[in-house]
Amino acid sequence: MHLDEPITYLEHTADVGFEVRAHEVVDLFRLGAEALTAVFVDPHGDTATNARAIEVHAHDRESLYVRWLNELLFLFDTEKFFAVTISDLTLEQNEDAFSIRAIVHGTTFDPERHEFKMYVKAVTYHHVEIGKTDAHFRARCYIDV
Amino acid sequence: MKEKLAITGKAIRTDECRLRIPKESIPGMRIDGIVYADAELFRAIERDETIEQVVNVAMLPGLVGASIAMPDAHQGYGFCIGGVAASDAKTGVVSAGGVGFDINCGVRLLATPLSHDEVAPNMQMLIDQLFKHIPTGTGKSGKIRLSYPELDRVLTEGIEWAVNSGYGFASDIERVEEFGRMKTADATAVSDRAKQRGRDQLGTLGSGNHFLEVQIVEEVFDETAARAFGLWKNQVVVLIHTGSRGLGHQVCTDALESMDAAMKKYNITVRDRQLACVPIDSHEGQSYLHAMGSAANFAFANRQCITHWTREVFRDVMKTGDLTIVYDVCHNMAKFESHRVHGQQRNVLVHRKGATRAFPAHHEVLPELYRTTGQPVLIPGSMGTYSYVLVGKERAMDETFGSCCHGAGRSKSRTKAKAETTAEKVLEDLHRHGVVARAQTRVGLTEENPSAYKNVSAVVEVVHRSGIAGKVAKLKPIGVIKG
Repeated sequence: MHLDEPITYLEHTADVGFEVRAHEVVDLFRLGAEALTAVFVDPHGDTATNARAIEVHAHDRESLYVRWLNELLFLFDTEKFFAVTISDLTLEQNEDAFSIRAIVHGTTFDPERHEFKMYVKAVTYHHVEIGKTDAHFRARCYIDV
Repeated sequence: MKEKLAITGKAIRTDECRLRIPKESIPGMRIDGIVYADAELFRAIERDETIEQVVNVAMLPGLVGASIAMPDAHQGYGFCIGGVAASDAKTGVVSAGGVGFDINCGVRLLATPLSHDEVAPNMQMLIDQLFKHIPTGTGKSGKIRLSYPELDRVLTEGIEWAVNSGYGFASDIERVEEFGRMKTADATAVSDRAKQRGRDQLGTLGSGNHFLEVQIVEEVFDETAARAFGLWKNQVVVLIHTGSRGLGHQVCTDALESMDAAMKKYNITVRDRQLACVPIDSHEGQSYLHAMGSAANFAFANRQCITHWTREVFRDVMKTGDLTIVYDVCHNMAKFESHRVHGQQRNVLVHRKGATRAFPAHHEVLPELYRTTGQPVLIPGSMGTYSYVLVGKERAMDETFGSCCHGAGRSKSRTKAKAETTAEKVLEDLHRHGVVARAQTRVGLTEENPSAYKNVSAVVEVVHRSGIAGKVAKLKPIGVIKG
């Protein structure tokens, strides 16, 4: 069951931030991908046509979140591929080693069908946070546009 | 996130243009903070996290002098935008966030031999052709396709690659900061991922606050400097604002990951993870500086390619492609320089994040043609507003590591700016002010509309009154292309 308004965009003088909320930590990564993708592209309801297997590693959960999102930016910048849905999302932690694996289902940007909204340079570490309230988990980050 | 600092009331005004945050006033500060702002600009600066970011920077190890914010400063991530800080070259740190993702984002000014009257009847065609021939690279690749070995040459040679490849002239080189080539570059330090991102983006403008503007010299304040820079009243000029594109962004991303993971072994802690830093004299530090230099060279080459196509469009539309580079300045960079700090000459690594070098007359690194006057400093306004040409002054060497502001600085978030207007209204407004505009995206107009920025004239006035740079000319836009 999803939370109401799982994605909130945050005010920042120069850039864009977003906070996502979910009942499970793993869903924070899914929602983060959705929030990020919505910043730079509007697929106008288009569906996924192919998929990428992604695996990312980091030394803590916050940097894993940043690296995961930056991997999606890398895919767009190099292949014009953007995410539509994500499946088989798994998080693993082994002491200071964190990793995420997922299948990202998406499509290639086509200016005839999709709207390019804004170029995102990177996901930053500024105020990056993954935390827990009584009710849910939340993740926050800011991106440089 | 660490607790917010108690910074209200800690900034003490020392004169009409400066405030000081004494290092004793906030635990953890190793150096003072200095903010260049008049009362009104400071009220804007206080509204977001800028001051906290100046203070956070002042806590980094090995910094000398002061942590500085220029009058256009606003909240960034880690360092504020409009921030300057210098590390001791031997014992200090380097911070990738102190340069930013868009390494060598910078500005280039081209002077044409044309007057406004000559260009005015052709403005729409000129802008249409510039929009057609200069790729923005938003959602698609540019015109130049590089092999990886060729990209390595771009990263090593910078502007020299571009000139040798037919994009411009040898005489362009001296009119670019660092003569268009960072000698610290080492293409082997740039990751394959960064090269993949940048390979098809050479010769693209980008989006956000990047642009190419056609302007006229509306007012000249310093006739001597203007003459030396080749500027005259009513002259048509072109201002290009862009940087290192995806390659630079990835270099910074790679470095932040590396520095974030490495800080623990160097016993460094920071209040904001985006301030991740390592000793200059470390493997990670050296690797970053080599990669940063390479990305800077990509940006120099990028602006050179765009210059070449601008000349071609002017030749086609206006029958002259005789556009001379006035100067090309970096405003996101870290450079080894020699500066007087508390009366002693020291070698330092100057981080300028949204700040421009402003070296005065007789500085040894300036090209011969500007040794007598001092360096041109280019200050772009926001879309549709004035830009300025300044000249570096000696006082900048005394106070700001030879640095100055870089633009108008944002005053409003992107969501607020977008909510307050529409692309159509922005275009109407530009048209009403005599500006012909073409933009690739709607947000390129709404989020960048002039109301989202501080008053650039007020920013420049503080810089001028503070003595760190002097006003030379005011430029009015008459056409703009954006991503």
